[in-house]
Amino acid sequence: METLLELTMTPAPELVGMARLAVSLVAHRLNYSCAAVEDFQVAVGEACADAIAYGRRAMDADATLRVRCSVGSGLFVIIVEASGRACDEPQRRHQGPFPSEQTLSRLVLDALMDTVAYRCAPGRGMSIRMARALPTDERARTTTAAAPPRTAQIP
Amino acid sequence: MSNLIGLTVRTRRVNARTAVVTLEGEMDIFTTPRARATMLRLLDDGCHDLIVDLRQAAYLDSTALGALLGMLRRARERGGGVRLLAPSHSVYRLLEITRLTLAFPIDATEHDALAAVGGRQGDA
Repeated sequence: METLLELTMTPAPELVGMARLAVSLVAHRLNYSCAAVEDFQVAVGEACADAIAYGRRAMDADATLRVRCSVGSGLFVIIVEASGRACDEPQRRHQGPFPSEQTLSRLVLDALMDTVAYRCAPGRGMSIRMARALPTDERARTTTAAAPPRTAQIP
Repeated sequence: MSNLIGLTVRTRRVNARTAVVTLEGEMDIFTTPRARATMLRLLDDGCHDLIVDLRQAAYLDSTALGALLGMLRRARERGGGVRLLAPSHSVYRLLEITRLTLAFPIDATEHDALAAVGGRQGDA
């Protein structure tokens, strides 16, 4: 896989907009349609909100949020990871007559991305891996040699 | 640090029971608490029918949708409700994905929303 973007930041709600914008720029460079770019923005926002909520539950003061975008095997892959010592398995149960925010988030991610995988392990935090097929003209290009990642550190 | 786009929340009381809440910008995990607090104040102040104007709302995430659902539950407990006004195509798509088009009445114009609320209040 070729890493295109890696953002490491504190899991602060005010930074989610920046992560969404950064991923949308990468998706735009990959020649996705405007509608698809919008889908990625929404998906990253949902995943980051989920990860931030996880960080709060885990009560880890040193938690970090990492967003990584990569391409390979005809796929655009976005991984959103939250560090944390605790493991809080996502709750899928509905609470009362209305769905929870987490349930809404999962519905959105499942609808917008081709595949979504959630991982949560004690001491290793949680991650959400989302993938979508690359636009046709980009699939061949991903077989070329990998370029060094563009990395950003946000305090 | 401020959000990149942010959210502007405006309120307008139509009558003792009804208010229009206008959301402009992005309602996400950062900006939702402020909008939620504004709507809660209106509910506590006797406005049990809220019309949420989404015409200028560029983006809502699940945190925002959850907040709107919370307002709907509280409003219903008080004999009122929450109506959504003219969401953009992208926001409407999210409402469809999460099947919240079944939970919220959605109106094309403020006139339609006020007429629906007025009719219901008149029936009560």
